[in-house]
Amino acid sequence: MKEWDCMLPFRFIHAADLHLDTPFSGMSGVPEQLRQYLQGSTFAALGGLVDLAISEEVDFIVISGDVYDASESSLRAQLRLREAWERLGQHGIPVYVIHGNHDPLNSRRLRLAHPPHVTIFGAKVESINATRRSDGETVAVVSGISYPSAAVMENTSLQFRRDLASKLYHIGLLHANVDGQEGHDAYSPCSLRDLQNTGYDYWALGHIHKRQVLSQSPWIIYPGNIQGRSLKETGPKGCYVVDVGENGEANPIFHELDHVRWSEIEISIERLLTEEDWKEAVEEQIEELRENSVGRLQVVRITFTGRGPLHSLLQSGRESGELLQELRRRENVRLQGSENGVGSLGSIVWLAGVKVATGMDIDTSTLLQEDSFLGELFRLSARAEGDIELLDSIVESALAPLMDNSTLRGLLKEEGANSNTKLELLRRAQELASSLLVEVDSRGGMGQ
Amino acid sequence: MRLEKLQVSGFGHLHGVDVELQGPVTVLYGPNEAGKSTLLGFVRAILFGIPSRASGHLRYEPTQGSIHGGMLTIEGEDGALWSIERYAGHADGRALSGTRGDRLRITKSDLDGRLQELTQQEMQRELLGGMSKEMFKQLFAVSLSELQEVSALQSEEMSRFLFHAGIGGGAAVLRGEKKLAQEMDKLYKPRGRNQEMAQMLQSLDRLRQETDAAKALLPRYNEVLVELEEVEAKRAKCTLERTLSLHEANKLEKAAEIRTEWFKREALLTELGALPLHRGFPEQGLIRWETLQGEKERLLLEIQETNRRCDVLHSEMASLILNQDILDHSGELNMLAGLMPGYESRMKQIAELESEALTLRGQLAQCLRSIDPVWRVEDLHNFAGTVSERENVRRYISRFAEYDKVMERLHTERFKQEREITALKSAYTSAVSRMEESKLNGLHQFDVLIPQDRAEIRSLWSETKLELDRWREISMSKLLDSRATAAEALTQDRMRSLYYRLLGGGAVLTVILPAGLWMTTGELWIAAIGGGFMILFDLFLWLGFKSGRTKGKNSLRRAGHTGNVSPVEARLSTLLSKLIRHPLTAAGKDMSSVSSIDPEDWELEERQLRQLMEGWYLWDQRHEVLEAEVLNCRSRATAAIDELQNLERELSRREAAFDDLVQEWESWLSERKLPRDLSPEAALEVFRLTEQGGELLSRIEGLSYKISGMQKENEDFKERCRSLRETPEGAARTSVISQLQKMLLELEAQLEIKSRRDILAIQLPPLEEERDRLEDRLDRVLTLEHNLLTEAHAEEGEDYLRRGVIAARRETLEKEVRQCDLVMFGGLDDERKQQLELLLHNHTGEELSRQVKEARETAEETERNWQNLQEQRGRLLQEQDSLEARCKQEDLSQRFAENKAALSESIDNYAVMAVCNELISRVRRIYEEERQPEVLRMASGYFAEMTGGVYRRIVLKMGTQELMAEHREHGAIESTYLSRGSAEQLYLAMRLALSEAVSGHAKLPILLDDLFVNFDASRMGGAISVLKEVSNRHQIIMMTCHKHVVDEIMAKIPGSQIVQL
Repeated sequence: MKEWDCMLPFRFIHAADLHLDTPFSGMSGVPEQLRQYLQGSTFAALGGLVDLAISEEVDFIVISGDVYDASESSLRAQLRLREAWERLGQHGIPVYVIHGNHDPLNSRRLRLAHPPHVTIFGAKVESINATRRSDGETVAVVSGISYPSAAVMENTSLQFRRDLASKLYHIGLLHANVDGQEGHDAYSPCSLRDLQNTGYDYWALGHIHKRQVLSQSPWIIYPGNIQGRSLKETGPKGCYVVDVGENGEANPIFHELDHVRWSEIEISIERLLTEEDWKEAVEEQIEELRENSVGRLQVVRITFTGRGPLHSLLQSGRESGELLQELRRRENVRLQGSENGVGSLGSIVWLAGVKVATGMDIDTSTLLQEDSFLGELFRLSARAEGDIELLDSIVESALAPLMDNSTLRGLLKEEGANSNTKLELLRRAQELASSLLVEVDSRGGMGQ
Repeated sequence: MRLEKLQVSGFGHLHGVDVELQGPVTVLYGPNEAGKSTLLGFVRAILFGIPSRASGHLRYEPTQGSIHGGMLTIEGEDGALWSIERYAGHADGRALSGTRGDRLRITKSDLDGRLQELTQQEMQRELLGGMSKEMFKQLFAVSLSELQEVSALQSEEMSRFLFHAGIGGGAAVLRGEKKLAQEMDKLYKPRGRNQEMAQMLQSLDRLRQETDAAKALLPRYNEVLVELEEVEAKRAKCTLERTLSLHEANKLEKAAEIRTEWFKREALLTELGALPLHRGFPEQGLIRWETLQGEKERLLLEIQETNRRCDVLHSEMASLILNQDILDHSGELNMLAGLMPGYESRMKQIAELESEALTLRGQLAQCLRSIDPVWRVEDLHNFAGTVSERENVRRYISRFAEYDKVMERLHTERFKQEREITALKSAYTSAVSRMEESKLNGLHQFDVLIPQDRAEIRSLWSETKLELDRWREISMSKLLDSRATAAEALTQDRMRSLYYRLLGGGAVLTVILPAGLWMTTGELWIAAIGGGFMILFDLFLWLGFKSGRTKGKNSLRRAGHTGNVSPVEARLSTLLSKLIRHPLTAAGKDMSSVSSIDPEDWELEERQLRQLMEGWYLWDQRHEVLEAEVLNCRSRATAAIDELQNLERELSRREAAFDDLVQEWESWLSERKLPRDLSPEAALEVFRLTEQGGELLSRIEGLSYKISGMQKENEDFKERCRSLRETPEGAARTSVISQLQKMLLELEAQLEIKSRRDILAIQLPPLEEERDRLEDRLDRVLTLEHNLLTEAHAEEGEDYLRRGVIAARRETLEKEVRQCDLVMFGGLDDERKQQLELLLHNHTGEELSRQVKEARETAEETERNWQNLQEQRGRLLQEQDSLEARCKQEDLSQRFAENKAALSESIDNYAVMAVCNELISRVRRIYEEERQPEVLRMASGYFAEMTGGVYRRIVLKMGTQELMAEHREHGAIESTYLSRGSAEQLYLAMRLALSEAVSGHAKLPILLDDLFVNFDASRMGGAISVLKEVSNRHQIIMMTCHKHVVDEIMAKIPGSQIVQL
């Protein structure tokens, strides 16, 4: 349908959601050195991106929004970004950037004008001819649109339209939530079909932090962010190096850029009988992670699941807290070691936290039938699970004291007040109650 | 059950009081101290035992010290009549605990009239339905004090009536809740400040503030950037202004500064204008003029000098005169003077050479004489002493020598051969004689043997041996020792004689050989070695001889047996007969006799035979050797004789050849006129002498040739001398040299004069030339002078000089003006120069200085401004740097995030606990409200009735077991917060409800001791109407001291019995 015989091969990098200098969330008790490392990791990833661009000799870079968090208002992010631009400029690598919901055009920015090789797209779709560095031949049309303000609810993809006369490779830069993916704000909502209809060859998307290839013809790709910063962003992070051949076929290859890798592991307590078993299981998991490390610092959260005799022990939180402290202490020793040149940061597995989602070793179905206080409680929570209003009223009245404080209120809101988190809360509360009541039961012998 | 009758024997202050109780409700009405409460105590005591002394007043000790106790008459549920009689034991006051010390009689007479005595326990079980004393006291016999004892309701015993079976006492729930509350409180309390979360919040707020401050970095940075831009713009403008004002000020200052100079220049310009204007006075005209004049003077003087010198030279040259004739021959004279020494030396040489020639001729004559007296010089010339001749002579010499050598060799050979022949002949004869001797010896020794032929003997013997072996196999035979010994001794003797001979020979050799060797070689050591060897040989022989003797001794025995097998023997005997001539006769000498039947003889014979044959074999071998030796000697002798004859022939041939050679030599000598007897060696000597002679001859010839050459040269020289000047007086031969010398002297004098004249001639032309040159230069100077005059437009020298002075003055002035210009406007462009001149023209001194001041001030002002801006810019740049540095260090956002995370974690924990707490409280509410126990419901009913509906119901809070009254309007109120009356009503309602629940089948009577004192009228009415309802099931006995109570009861319960105490 298209004539590709006049295509010139070229190579570019597609990255998005750099979120420079945004802090790592969901971690506490971080020692100084680690904090510094974490803080530098987004910049390190950016540095890696620049290095990659230089070493791969790409013809240009496209960045699909959220380069930094305007809310963080980090001068450092801006200055470092500038340094990165300059380095790319020294190597003559052009950069095409759009702004996303986190760094909209109306946000605070460094007042300095961008260097000429950095192209920032405006609030309307613009198209620019990109050239090949080797001979200055025009090889592609890069189109993009930036967010004028933080919330864009309009389907901006409709503004993109391929110039049918042009036989050049068309690359669209868009910061959008395609097909309304959950867990992300539905900014610039559009559908896959919308994108496919534009006639563009490559859609360089941003906004969703999880890497995904939505379509191969045309290519519609979320490269994900370049550095995971919370437990929601686990696994390798990086960018795509895209080779476009003479036949116009693109070959995107993922390159890891992250310096800190997040992961979450689950440990079931079902088969664990003693505290020692449990500690061993945890240490085993950590060592396994360490062995499989790929030279990156790893941040990990352990979730204990399953029903078992250790539930009550864990439920009190003291033992897991102690274990957490101990494991962190060990990693800290390693950290010191790596600072002194012994070992590397890559061997560190930092425990961000421990989540206890275990259950009492009891049969809930019989409990639900039982004419007892706990039975009644389980029946109540079962009712609440099905009845959102009841659930809301329970959670609301429970958390009412917290609502007095504006900060806490804000945090609670951030945590997300959706039914899932509430349900989760309810279930955990139910498990807590069962451990509390049964514990007393087994001690006092006052049950039925 | 109902109480029928109380008969108090003695209880407190009551004595012999009988109270009959009728109907469901009885009111005991009486004033204070009437004994109402005592009666209550009495009922308790009779039913459950009189309290011990420890109980104090409750024991109700009789005041008069009479009998302590009484009797109760009770009608049971089943209609049986019970009488319980109880008295405190031991009135003497001995303390007895419990009821054991009481005197107790319990009788039950049922409807059928059966009387039965029962124990306390049986009574309690049957009559009271197992009611305990405590419960009875709390629920059935209630006084005001007991009513207010809330704890009674919390006793374990009662709780099971109060609460729902499913939750026990609710203590677990309570504990759980308490624990949760503790944990939650640790984490968070609204408005608390020390809880974990509160502290986290505080630090978070602090961090937030700091973070906000950090967030201000970016806007501040932007501001700095804006400010920087502004400042930069201002600074650019200011810089421009600054340069302008500085320029202006400088200009004015300059003007003020150069004012004096300017005036000076003006003056100079005026003077310059006054000077007459002469055109084109030559540059440096005056100096040049003076130089020319000086030059002119000098040249004139020099010309005169030169002329004088020329004249002097001319006169000198004229005074010198030359002799041209001598000078013409000067070349030839010089040559002859050069040849003169050669002439003289040749004269000397000629004399020397002539004497030498004389000597050589003498030597030559001597040489000829030594060859041969007849030889002359011609012979010498004729003798060809060529190399081939010499070779011939040498060949003759060698041939003679060769002949001598061959002859000598042949003679020695012949001599040797002759000696050898004689030796061989003697050896042959001795060998023949040895062989003959051996042959004779053999024949003599072995004459026993028949065959003469040796081969035959051998074959026969080998056959015989075969047979002998065979024979020995069959039979054992013996040989006779003695025979054998004899035979052996014989051989031994021979051996010994041989050795003796050898030893003797050896000894002789031992002596002779070394001596011989010494003599032949002349070397003592070889002789010694030879002697040594011989001695060793002798020694060996001697040892051999000795061992031979011992061996001989050892082998002196032999034994043999002859077999007796006849066929073999027969064969043997035939063979032997063939071999040996006379066996029996021979036995005496060589062999033992052989008898065919005696094996021993056979043996002996065989041995002898063998010995004989061995001896024969030995001899045979030796004989063969001797034969061969004879043959050998003979052949060698004949060969030697042949060779001798050959030698003789060779000798005669050689002698004939030698005679020819002598002839040849003699003819050769005569050919060369030499004496015939000359040997070839002497001939060689002649060759040497002729050579010598030849050499001498040639030298003589060379000398005479040389002498003649020299004489000729001398003649030539003389001739030339003579031809030079044919002087008449120079006839004498000696004068040739002296004349020549005189002429040479003359020539020398002439040459000197000539050279002097030449020098003068050379000096003259340069002088003349110099004179011409000077004249030319003078012309040139005059021309230049004229030129100067024309150029200066001057008529003559003086006019020229005047003009020159004026021109110099003008030049000075102009120079000064230029200097002024330079001082004033040095380095300035035309524009500024004009500006300055304009200024100086237009303004006075004061005006100028004023303007300078003003301009200076403006300049300073702008300078200050500029400095300010510069500083501002510096500050901003510094701030920019510091902002960049700060932002690179801060880690607030991360710390904020961490604190937030920690807080979120806590919130999460708290939330779980809070939700858990909420769940528990909700479930508890369900329990408290919806699943209320029967007792509470009933009590609620009573309570509502008592309060006329003000309180709707009673709620029991789980865990705390605290009673709460739910007010119609104000909701639940804890009992402790209720008014005294309401609380009492609440407790009463509870007790009534509980007594209902507890009673079961035994409906116990309820005794209420003046409980309505705190009730208002309506509440009391309500209470009474409740009691009325209760009285349907229980007997009710009320004590009161209030008339209105009695009245009220009477009104509400018409059938009630009033007992006045």
